[in-house]
Amino acid sequence: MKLKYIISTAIFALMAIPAIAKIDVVATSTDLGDIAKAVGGSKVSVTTLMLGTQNPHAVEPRPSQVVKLRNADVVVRIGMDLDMWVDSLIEAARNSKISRGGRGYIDASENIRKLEIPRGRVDGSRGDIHVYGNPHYWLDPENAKVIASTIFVGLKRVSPSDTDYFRKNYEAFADKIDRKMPEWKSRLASCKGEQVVTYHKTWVYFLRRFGLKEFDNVETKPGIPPSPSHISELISSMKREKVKLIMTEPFYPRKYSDMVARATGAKVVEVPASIGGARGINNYFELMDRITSEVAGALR
Amino acid sequence: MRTLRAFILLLALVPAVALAQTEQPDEQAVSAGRALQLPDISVIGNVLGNFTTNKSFTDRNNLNLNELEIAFQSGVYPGVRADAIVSMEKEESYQASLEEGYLTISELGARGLGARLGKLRAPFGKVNPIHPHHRPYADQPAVVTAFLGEDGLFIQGGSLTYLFPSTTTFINFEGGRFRVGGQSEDDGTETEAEPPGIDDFVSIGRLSLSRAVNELSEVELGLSALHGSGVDPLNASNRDHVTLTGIDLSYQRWPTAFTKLLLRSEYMMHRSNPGGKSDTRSGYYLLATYKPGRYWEYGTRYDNTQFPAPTTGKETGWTTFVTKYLNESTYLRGQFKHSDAPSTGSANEVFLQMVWGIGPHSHALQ
Repeated sequence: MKLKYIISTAIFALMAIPAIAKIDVVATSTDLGDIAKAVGGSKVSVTTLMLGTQNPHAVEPRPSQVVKLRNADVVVRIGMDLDMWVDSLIEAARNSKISRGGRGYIDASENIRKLEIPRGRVDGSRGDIHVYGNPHYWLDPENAKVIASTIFVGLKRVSPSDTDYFRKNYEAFADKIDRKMPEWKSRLASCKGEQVVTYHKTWVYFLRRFGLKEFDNVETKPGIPPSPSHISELISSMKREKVKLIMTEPFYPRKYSDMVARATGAKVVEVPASIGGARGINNYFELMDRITSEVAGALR
Repeated sequence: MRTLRAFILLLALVPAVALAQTEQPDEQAVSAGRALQLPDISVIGNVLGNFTTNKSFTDRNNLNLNELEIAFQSGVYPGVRADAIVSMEKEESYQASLEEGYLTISELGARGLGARLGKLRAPFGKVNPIHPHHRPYADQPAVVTAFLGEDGLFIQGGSLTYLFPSTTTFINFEGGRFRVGGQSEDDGTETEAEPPGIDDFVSIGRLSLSRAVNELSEVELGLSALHGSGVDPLNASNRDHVTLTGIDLSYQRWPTAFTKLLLRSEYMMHRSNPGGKSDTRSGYYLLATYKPGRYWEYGTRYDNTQFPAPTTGKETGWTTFVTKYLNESTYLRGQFKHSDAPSTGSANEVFLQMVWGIGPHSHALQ
């Protein structure tokens, strides 16, 4: 009798495992990981491959990251050739669920309205430009909703029985963005039309959403360090146009931005472009709060 | 000869590809390659100069296009990828040869089980599978040259790979049976270099383990073994069995977004029975590199190796190098090396290297 009880309990426990097992989601960036957490809720377990302090262009794939992908049910990537380094990891993981075209493969850029798609020949003479357009799309909160929607569709594909749960979470996330948007917009309302210099072409989507304009970049061309002649021209043009702000991420060298700022009287704002890029930024809303506050403060 | 014909055929296809791309409107041309199912096509050029006062070096004080690598890479079926790499190397004139051509099967029935088939750089040791243009120095560690050959070891055959289902440690095994060298041209000459002491089939196994120490650093351990046979160097009528084993240890740390420290050592032991007498030779290198930022890398390496029988003596060397990266695939390098070898004596060398790359180019995770 006791044996029967043990066996039936064990069978019941084994049957229950799939029901309580979480969907293993691996996101390349902390931003996508946070949005996946918001949509997946308690049904998913999310890990990320990058730290918020890393530059997504320059992540070196490591064998230990393959371990995370081997057992993953879902991978969420930035796409647009920004996180190309994840391709070798996916291949090494030998997990068909997350390989390109697999049920668990989510390219978060899929439904994004892409900016700065290059025209004409694309080669190294134009610097490190991306053939599918500027890939820093998550810095527009409206795009965060699109990302959440794409992740919702992907999670639904992997676990159709949880569709209603994921939909509710997606709608809650989108609703929260809609509620925060007026606050972010009003914070930057007085800055509308201001021209901004950025170290790298990271902030195009952010600036466009909030009515600011990218004036120029400290880099000569994307990924190419500034040359003396470019710095000199940049200083002249910034003075002429009275550009007051230089935006840069913490991992880029400050010396060029500081040099230009000293010569022009502009302010340098160092803001992270990803969650975890600085202390106290633990989710998407805190990231946008920080960026909008810093930019508004500098232009006040 | 066959590989040369294949190369000419591939080159003939390139203008057609270029024409197809230029006929598209600008916006569509961006993704035309993928849409037309073209493979990723890339060219890597390696310009190398070796300057030395040691007159025993045959190609000294010249700056040459040392190698041109043309790669075609694409998925061919779900879970199957093909890599074809044609190399043109400077000998007396430029010789085209198929450097690598293989299929990688990512999932072979069971999760974690895969395979590689074709011609490839042998999965022995840490350095040998890495293409020279991806290495942080212009030359090759002396121990690799001594035991795997002047250009490293290339093989033809098939291997099975298995990624163990560990949740904390990367554990990967690759084992296979391959043929080395011995590819006869139509005129009977050999096209492939052979590793010392081996001239037909080899069995190779490699176990790679890697674990994150924390979010910013990682340690890797590799164990390799190779077994084959060749003509006994002391008695040409006999076959001699050779066993080569290797161990490599790497520590990598990425303190910030663009800085990186690499410490690596690789040790190889060569066992054979020339003339019926047991013989063991060994060698190693120690390597340290540091990237203080995105565009610069500094490094140093110490070499110490013996040679397979019957060569006696030991080669030692010390080299330092600095690399300026222009982008991911294009860089300039300067390197100084002092070495003492039985065949060349004491030598001071300066290497100047420029590697440039065009087109999308990738290699499997090493």
